[in-house]
This record gives sequence, structure tokens and C-alpha cells, in this order.
Amino acid sequence: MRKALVVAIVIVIAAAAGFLAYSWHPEIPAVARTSPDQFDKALVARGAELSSLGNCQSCHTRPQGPAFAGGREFATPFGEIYSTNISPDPDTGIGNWSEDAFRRALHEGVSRSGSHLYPVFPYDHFTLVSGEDVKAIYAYLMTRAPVRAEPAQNRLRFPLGFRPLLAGWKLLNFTPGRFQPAAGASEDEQAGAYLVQGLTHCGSCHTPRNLTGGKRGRELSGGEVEHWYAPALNANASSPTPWSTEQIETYLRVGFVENHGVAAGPMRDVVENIGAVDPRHARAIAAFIGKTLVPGTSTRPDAKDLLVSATAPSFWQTSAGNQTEAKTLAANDGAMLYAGACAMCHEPTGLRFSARGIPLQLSKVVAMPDPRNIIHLIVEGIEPAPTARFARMPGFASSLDDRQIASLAAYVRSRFSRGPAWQGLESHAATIRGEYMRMHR
Amino acid sequence: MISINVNGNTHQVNSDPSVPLLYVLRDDLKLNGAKYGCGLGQCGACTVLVDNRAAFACLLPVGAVANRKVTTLEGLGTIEKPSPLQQAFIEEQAAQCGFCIPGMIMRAQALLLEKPAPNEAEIRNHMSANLCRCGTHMRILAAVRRASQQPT
Repeated sequence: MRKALVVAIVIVIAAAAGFLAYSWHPEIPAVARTSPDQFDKALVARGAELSSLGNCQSCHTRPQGPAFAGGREFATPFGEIYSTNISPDPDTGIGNWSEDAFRRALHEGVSRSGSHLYPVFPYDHFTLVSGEDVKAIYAYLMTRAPVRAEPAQNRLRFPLGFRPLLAGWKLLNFTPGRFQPAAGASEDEQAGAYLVQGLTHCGSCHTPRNLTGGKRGRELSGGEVEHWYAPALNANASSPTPWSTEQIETYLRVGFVENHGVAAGPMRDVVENIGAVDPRHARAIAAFIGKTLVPGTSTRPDAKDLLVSATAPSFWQTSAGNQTEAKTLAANDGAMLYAGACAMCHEPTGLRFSARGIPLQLSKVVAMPDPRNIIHLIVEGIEPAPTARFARMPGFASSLDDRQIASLAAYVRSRFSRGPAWQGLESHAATIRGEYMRMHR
Repeated sequence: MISINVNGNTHQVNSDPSVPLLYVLRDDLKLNGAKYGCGLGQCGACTVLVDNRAAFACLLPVGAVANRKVTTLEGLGTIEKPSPLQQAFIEEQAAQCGFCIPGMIMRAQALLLEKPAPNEAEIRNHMSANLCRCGTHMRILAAVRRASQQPT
């Protein structure tokens, strides 16, 4: 008996030692920061574009904070994580990282010191980025203004603060290796696949995660980020009418397509970044996403008629119809609220010609399986990106209460979509509106 | 009939509940402080308080405020006895044509109720929802600053 115990303990210790050995990575020696004028200008310019396409600055900058100095909070199911300082400050940033150390971080998710990085940093995508592109991004970051800033301490659930455990996460969820082009795809599709799966890391938000926060399989079939639903970009997509590749390209560069809707929430930053670079990148992403999206976009048999009916005066002639729990909410106040608060901008009988509120039967958020995005839009409104030509949508956080917002969403869903009624509207409204009111005291 | 509370008085109004509050205030209750500007929630001329928070009355169905407290410009003060905020607008001569001013005052009132001594950034950020076509924004900001130094 005692002998068996000893054997068991030895096995456990050996396994732990083996795991730690597997988990261990050497430190890469610190180097003196290369002077900014040592970098090739063309390389830095290419790095700037790539950095935009990788959305680096959005995550590595806290709200109103200095660029690339980190400190933005990410609330994950595993705890709060703060983005790191990637400005070239030698003490608090990456100023003493060699290009090798930078490349190892992107390709393997290991810091210069040898410790594992949390996968909030999407190295499961960045591992696909070519060595040449990594070199350009490195040149760009090393020529930014160094900022001395120590981001707040992460607050992770026990025992996840112990970084060697991340080797286990990687074993389950991470395959290192560069991008391999698929046979038979066009040049644009290849370039698009490279960006979508790699640097632009679309799947970080648009792919669902499992209990360990990993995402093997079900690529681009709809995920979430910061209480927003990141819609499916594959055959599960729920758009009322099909997206053409031209529309996807416009959406990515401008943030507004009249027959689908607006890029809001976390996607707004992405659009601003993609809009700032050579349009060929948006075209490439659109070519690839267009291929993954097309089979399932038209979930409504009457998709063609929608475009016609959207221009006809429909509101005053139709009434709510649909079933379920949401019916009470919709019937209560929904129609009244829609008529008084929404119709003016969203109906041809109002002032839609001026406001350019999109007809809601075409709206992607009304067709989504998840109601959180429309609740965000009702609560916060929409501030158009500088490139998007439509009137600012006012938010209703202080004029409507949680229940009224839930009723309005239920009504809009029942009248403008054939999708099943949304669930949990009131609690979503309370969460999203409550958070908004706290932030805007 | 819909029962609404405006400036502390309860009114019974005979209106379809989907009619925007602005029309009921102006047409039924003859409270003409709030103005119709764009009808789209873009300009803020119609701003009133609902439970002490600023709201666009042009995009707020009257049925949605049945159990809430509405305050309009008429609820702040009178010509003989203006409120401190109204007095500040007078002293700074903030109005040119005056059309946006009721909305500006109500927007500012919401801020001062929440934060009696806002800083410059808070004032500008809060007031950004309201527009003035004459361009008196600098005087309007001065009026809000002046009012923020005294009790409202």
C-alpha cells in the first residue's frame, strides 16, 4: 500500500517536472534599442499598414491613453487582463527586445523573458504571419515614441496567474506554423485568407470559444466580444439579403452599407484601421469572406423582395405578428415605441431620405440570432465613422427604461425578421444599459 | 387618455401614445419652450428632462413617459424670477436668434443636476448633443460655466 503511494507520488512529481520542462523557454537577451533612423523608411511604412491591419494600437492603448503604451482592460471569463506596453521604452515597453524576441512572441506566444503570454494576445493567429511582415511591424513599433508606462496588474482566477500552465492551454488550442496557401484560390482570396486567419485575426471575435477559451473548429461561426455578438461570417450568417464582395469591401473601409447596416461597437475601430490603409487589403479580405459567407447569407426565401418592400411605405399598414414570451413585451409597448422613436428615421413615410436610417427588414442586427447588438445600438446610438455618410443615431439610454428597450427590441424582431423570438431581452437590456449609465455618470 | 407629469403638474392628455412628447407639450399643453428643430434627434432644440436626464422630446413617444417626471424650460423659472442657469444665459447674452436656447438650457440643467461643478471637458462633452446655427456656442459655454459656480 505504502509502496503504491510512493510510486504514485513519484509519477506525479515526474509528470510535473516533465510539464515544467516542456513549458520552459529560455530568456532572449536584452539588446540596446536600435536608433529609429537605422530602420529602412519603406519597411517602416509597410509596418504601419500591417500594424493597422493587425489592430495593434486598438488593443495596446488604453482609452485616451498614449499610443501603444498598453493598459486597456480585457474582461475575460478567466479574469481581467491588461494589454502590455509595446512602445519602444526599454524598461516598461519592448525597447530592449531584439527582432528575434518579437518574432517569438508573435509566432509562439512567449515573452522575451521566456514566460508564456496569455492568448488574449492572439498569437494563435499571429503565428501565421510571415517573417517578412513581422520584420516590418517590428521596424514600425521600434520607431514609435517610447512611453514609460506600467500597465495595471492582471487579476486572474486562481491558479491561472501561474503562467507555465499556459503550456497546457497551448497543447490543447495552439498550432504554431506559418500560413500555407490553399490550392486553387485567386490571388485576392489568398491575400485575404492570409489576413483574415493571420494578422487581422478576425476569428478572435467571430469564432466561438470553448470552455478553455480555445477555438478549434467552427471557424468564423459567430463569437462574442465585450458584450457584443460578433456575427457568423460563414454559412451560419444571418444577413437578410446576400452580401456582395463589393459591399463587404465598402463595409470594411467605410463602415456603412445601406442595405445591411453600420459597423458599430468593437468593429468600428477595425473599420477605422482598415479604412486607413491601401484599399487592396479590404478587397482581399472581402474576396475571402465573400467565399466563406455566400452559401448561407440568404436565410430568407424572399430576400429579393425585401429590397423592393424596403422602399414601399410599409409601417402604417402592417402589425406585429409572431409567437412566444417576447409577444407580450412586443405587444405591450413595442409598436408604440417604434412608431414614436424609430419610424421617423427608419420609415419612408418619415424623414428617412434625410437621416438614412436603414429599413429594419434589411438590418443585419435585427436578423442576428443574438439581441445584444441591437440593444447596444438602442442604448448608445451610433456615432458614424468619419467616412460613413448618415445621420448620427441618438441613444435612448436616458429616455427609455430597461423594459421599454426590451419591448422595442422584441417588437422590431417580430415585425422585421422571421428568426425566432429573442430570449432574455430584459436582462440583456439591464446589463447593457446599466453598464452604459455607469460609464456616463 | 394618458396621464403625464410635467413641471410638477399632472395632465390628462387625449393623444395616441405613439405621438412624440414634443407635440403634446406644444400643441396640447401650450408649453412652447421646447422647439421643433430637425425631428431626428440631431439638433437638440427639443431637449427636455425626463427623470432629470436630458432627452430629445421629438423622438420620445408620450406613452413612454406616463409614469415619469418631465421638466421643460417653463419648469425652471419665470421672466420675473429666472433660475440661476437662466440668469447666467441672460448675463452672458448667450442667445442670438434664441431658437436653440431652451434645449441648451435643459441640456445644461441635466449636467448641473448630476455634477454641480463640471470641468471644461465635461461641459463640452455633455453639450455636444445640441447645436446652435448662429454660432453662439462660446457664449453658451460661458453661461454654463458661470452657472456651475453657483447653486442651481
